[in-house]
Amino acid sequence: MTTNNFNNMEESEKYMVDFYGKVLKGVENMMNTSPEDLKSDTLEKELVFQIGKSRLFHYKPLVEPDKVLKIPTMITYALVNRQYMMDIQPDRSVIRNFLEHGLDCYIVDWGYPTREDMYMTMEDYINWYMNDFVDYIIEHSGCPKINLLGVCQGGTFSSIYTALHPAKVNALVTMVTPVDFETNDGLLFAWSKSMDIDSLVDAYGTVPGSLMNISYLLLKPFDLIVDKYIGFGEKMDDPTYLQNFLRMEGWIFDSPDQAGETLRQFVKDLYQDNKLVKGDFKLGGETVNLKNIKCPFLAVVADYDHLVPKAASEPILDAVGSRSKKLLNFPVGHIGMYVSGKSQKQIAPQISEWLVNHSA
Amino acid sequence: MPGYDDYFKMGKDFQDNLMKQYKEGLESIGKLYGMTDVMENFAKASGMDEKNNPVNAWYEAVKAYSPGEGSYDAYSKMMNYTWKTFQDQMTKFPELMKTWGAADMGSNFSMPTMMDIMSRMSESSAIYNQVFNFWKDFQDSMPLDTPEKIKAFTKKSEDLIAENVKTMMSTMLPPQFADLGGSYATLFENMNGTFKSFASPWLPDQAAMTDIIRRMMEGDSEAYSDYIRYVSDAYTNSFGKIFNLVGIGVNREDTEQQAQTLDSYMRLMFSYTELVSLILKIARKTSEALTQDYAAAMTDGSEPMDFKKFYSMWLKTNEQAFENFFASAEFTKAFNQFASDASQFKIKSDKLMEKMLAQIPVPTNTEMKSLYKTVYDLRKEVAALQKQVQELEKKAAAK
Repeated sequence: MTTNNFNNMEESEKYMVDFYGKVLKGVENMMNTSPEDLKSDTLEKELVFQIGKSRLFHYKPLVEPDKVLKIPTMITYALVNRQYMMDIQPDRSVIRNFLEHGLDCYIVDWGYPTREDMYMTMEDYINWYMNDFVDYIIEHSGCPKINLLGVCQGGTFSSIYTALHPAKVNALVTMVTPVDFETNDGLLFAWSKSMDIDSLVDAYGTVPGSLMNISYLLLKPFDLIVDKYIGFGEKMDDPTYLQNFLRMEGWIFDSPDQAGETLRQFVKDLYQDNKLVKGDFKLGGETVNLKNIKCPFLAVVADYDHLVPKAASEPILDAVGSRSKKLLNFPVGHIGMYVSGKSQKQIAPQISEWLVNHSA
Repeated sequence: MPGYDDYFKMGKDFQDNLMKQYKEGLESIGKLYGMTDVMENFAKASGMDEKNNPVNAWYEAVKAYSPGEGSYDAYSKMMNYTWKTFQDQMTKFPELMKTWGAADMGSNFSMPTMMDIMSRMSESSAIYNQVFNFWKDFQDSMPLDTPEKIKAFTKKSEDLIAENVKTMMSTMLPPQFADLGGSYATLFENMNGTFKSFASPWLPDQAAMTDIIRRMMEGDSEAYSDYIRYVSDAYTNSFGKIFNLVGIGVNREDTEQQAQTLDSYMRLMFSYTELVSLILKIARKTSEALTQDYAAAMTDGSEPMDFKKFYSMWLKTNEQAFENFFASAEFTKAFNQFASDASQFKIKSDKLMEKMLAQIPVPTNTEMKSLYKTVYDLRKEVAALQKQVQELEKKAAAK
């Protein structure tokens, strides 16, 4: 036993010495890393339309003009994080993958709400901003209908939009999108049920993204606060790994503040009362019936999603009225959907292929 | 029929008796554990001496506040006392305002700089080192073949996790809050410091309190949560009511607002300490189980784990325990209560701040919110009108 202990100890101490050696080398790498090395959102695109702080960008195609899909696709991201996750770095870019498959991509950048945006409601985001963006694309592309691709909360918005404006949507794709909020599988769902959202919104007006981040960290505290950085220390002597990590780290904590009235409605009507799948959700006085979604529909679900569990995302398939509908699920997490190897090799190509096939 | 003086005497006797029992209870615990000095200091710190006893001031004020006996003087006497207590607490306000100001919270989580990441790395590395030293110590002490050895290691494991929790909380929360609860000792110290002027003289059941303190001293982690709930209830039934009294006089609105702000601060402290005590309870239970499992495995003659395996086991065990705990109704309730109390405190202290700002020529939050609403309504109106114009233009062009 003693001998084993000694050997074990020696090996482990050597490991710790090596670990700190790597950290030292990593620090040197960090000192040699410039902000330019960490840039995301590098694909060429044009700002084509703006309402308030929200902007609509049009990506420059990466295929010959005759190979670009005629029906454009508008990508709508969640309000709680930034849309450049879809183009986090050149070799891990879902958008690049879409463009290479010939999709004509637009993306909504919701911007950073400030206190002057505290009264913005879901109705404003969906029936005003999204609707104006869609109208712009329809007008400038000459297509009477466009494809919508919604990510996470952006998928919920896109579903509501499609249910209310079916004539403008050719096909709908939702990725890791919560629709049925009954479940308590994910901690956010469990906590939100009894959350005093009124006090939070009344206190802040626009709720700081930093507060939202605290709750995300609590979902996996040891993994996200301790082990993530230990893992980083073990590999930060590799400059490529270091840059990828820092880029992700930048995105994770780049969380815009939330327009209070929108958050209030999202939590109360959806997380707490689950009105959308029950058919009780109203926007601008109009009841949102998901059965009105009759266009071709694709739901993309992550098997290991700790933010939007499958119990919340899969039921959309039964909720919509589309005859042509499909579920794609992948063994990845919420973020892995965009940055994992599978994302580039399987997920983005399959979505592109589905959109191409349904955009005749 | 008993008169006012009789009721006053009954109340005073009850209170005196309560204080006597409380002191005796503390003395007996002190003797039992050979900690007389500690208990005496605790009694003093809890505001149990006559001079600092707010109950006396309250009773005096109430006594004088019988019809025809100088009600205004009595009321102002009571409010003066309340105000003085409040002023003491107000000295902490600038720090608290900083803590709960959106901008300051935001600054902790803005886009990370290299220095932020290095700082997070350094905190994680500190935890890694602590786990490594713990593992090393463990290996050196093998086999853990006596209950005493296991107990000693369980204690070390608890200290380790308490330190880890503190480091993790400092990563998530602004420093003013993170420092409030790194261990049971600091948690208790802070809790006691917060409520000593308010709730302690009002404790309804001395025997229950004595029992809780005994359990705390014996290392019962449940007792800390019980203590906080007990004190919180005592506050709710005593000063919690006073701070929510309807004010009178010219400055009644200000007085009410100030008292209610202090009340919301107290409630925030209670819910925060309760939340931390629950977290520490899970940390303690997990570290106990982890130490015992590992010791048992080693005693069975298994190969000792190298550090990487041990760290992996430590991480998984803790993560799983906390994941289960965070999914529990107990945590959800405490967490949401804390968030709600924090929001309420911000709402009330912001309003108080507005009162202070009213004297200087700057727009207040309420005024700005009104302005934001006007701008928002106008923006919508303009957008709708623009749409109408575009429609008309299209129609005109089509003709």
